[in-house]
Amino acid sequence: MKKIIGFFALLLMSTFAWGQQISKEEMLFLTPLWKGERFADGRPKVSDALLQRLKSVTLEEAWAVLKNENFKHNYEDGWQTINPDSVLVGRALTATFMPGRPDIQRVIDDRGHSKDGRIKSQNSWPIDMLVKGDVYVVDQFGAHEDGPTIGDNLGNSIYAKTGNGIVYNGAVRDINGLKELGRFTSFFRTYHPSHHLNNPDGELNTTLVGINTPTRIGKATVIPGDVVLGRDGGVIFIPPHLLEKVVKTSEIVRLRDMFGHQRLREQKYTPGQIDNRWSEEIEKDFSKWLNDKIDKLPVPKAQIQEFLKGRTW
Amino acid sequence: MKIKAIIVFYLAISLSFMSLGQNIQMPKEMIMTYSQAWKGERFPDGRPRVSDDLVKRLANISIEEAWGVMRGEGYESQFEGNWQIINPNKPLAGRVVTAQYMPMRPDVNTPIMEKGKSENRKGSSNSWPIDLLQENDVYVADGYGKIIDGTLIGDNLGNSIYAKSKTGVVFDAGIRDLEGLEEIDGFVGFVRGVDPSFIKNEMLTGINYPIRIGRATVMPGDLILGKREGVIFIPAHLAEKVITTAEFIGMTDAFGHLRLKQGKYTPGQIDQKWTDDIKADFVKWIDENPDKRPMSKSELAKILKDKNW
Repeated sequence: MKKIIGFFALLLMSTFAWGQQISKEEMLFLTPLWKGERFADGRPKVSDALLQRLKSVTLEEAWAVLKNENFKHNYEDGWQTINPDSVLVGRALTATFMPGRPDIQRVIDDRGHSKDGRIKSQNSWPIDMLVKGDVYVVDQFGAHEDGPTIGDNLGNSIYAKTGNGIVYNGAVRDINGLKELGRFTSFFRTYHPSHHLNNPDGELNTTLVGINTPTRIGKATVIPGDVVLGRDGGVIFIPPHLLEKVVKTSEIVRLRDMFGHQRLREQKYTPGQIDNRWSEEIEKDFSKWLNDKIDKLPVPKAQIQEFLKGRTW
Repeated sequence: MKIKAIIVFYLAISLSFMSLGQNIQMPKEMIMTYSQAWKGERFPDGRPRVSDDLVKRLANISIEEAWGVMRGEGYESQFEGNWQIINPNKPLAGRVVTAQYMPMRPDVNTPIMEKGKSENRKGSSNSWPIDLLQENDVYVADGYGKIIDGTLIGDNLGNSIYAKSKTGVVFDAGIRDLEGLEEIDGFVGFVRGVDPSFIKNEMLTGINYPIRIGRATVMPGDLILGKREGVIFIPAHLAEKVITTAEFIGMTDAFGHLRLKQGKYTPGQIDQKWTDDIKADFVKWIDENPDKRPMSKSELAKILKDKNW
């Protein structure tokens, strides 16, 4: 009997307990519009198939859909990059660092090591949680010299776990090693050969105050589970409930552009006809074109069929 | 049967916690954990409550001396400069209440506004932190440096802040109604800029959570001292040490300057570690001039005993 009471007392304490990691309840609270699958900790888990299709979406297309939905603070630029011609796509897992404070650093270290099963330094704790398809999104408050929390050791770990690079509001180190990873497509502010300082009894300049809490990256607010699309020097954070709309809108625009450009080359229509609202005749031609080319287009066949079903032409 | 009762009890309690969901204000246990180095009095919400006496004396110490003591304790990131100051001739001193603002996201703002209403918070969310202020609190907010459309207060909220706190604000953000704020006798503000626009495309994400103000990490219950040089944030558990040490340095400086003017000692004698004779002279002088002693006799005795001065 005592054992049982002890067990429940322990459970109860774990309910009271907090870490700097967001609770599942708060995670659900912040993402009420997401009705789909979630990770065990509550973080929205958009489908792998949509992530795959997102790779062909441009920033303009995603930006326009978000703007129409009144999401106007989800884009940030001004980055240095690794693999500037590649596209970074994945589910955000966020970390928020602040300038170091010994009192906070100590309690977070103590709690992390003794209660939460965290290992060694705080800068590796969020990385331990990463899974395939995640993108590690970090606010390191733009720290440059003595800022980097990531070099090629942690870079290797991040890449092995996620298959992705990072979005990092701060400086990275070991830039050569990070580039050698090959597909570590990343967005960061600067490079510096130094590293951050994390000894509460000695040199300290960085404390991890949040894991998967809302994080500001420049002009954008990032919520864990947001879908990262990084390309062409910019990064947009797509709320998970808008991902499908972004992808589908982009695919339709892409198909219409392909069709329009082809017909302009063939001189079947004038630029004025194509650059305007299309006539019924052109819309019919477009439907036919989609049907004829359905196996050769850069959009999955099933999607085109679904799209055609909704058309009246 | 008993076990079942226990299980039901547990489920009921844990459910009641889960239903809290997001906390607009940092939960008490979280504040207590972060500030566990503080052993003194607390507000009901857990925020450290450094004594009124120390808060009053804080206004008279220098930023450099506070900075020096904290640096000696390993606190390197407590100062932030480069402010536009409203009413710069009065120091700003008090206990910190923090607020975090972020760029607007409708999906996040909607549940926060609903939660706020269910907690009986009134009006727009940028007034919620103000509703909590008590005398000697200082409202410190991270508005991510936004000035245009990022003005956290105008003279209406400014009047409310001053009526409640009798202090002022530190905003990594802008304000509007500068003239109206300047007219509030006693109000002191440290802000990044002024703009006639009002707050827009921005949302409150938390009250009394850790925030960053430039180079400094700020916790609720910290003391804040703002002077023309900038602002410095003092962890509650260091407040007494910072203030008494700074006061003590002020006392020894006053004594040293006086004796130099009188020609009693040479600059070399005063600018070095004092001899036992000079120390005895100082103790006698301070005993005869209690108005030069901002701290209590027992605090001074502690310093004279503890410190290798």
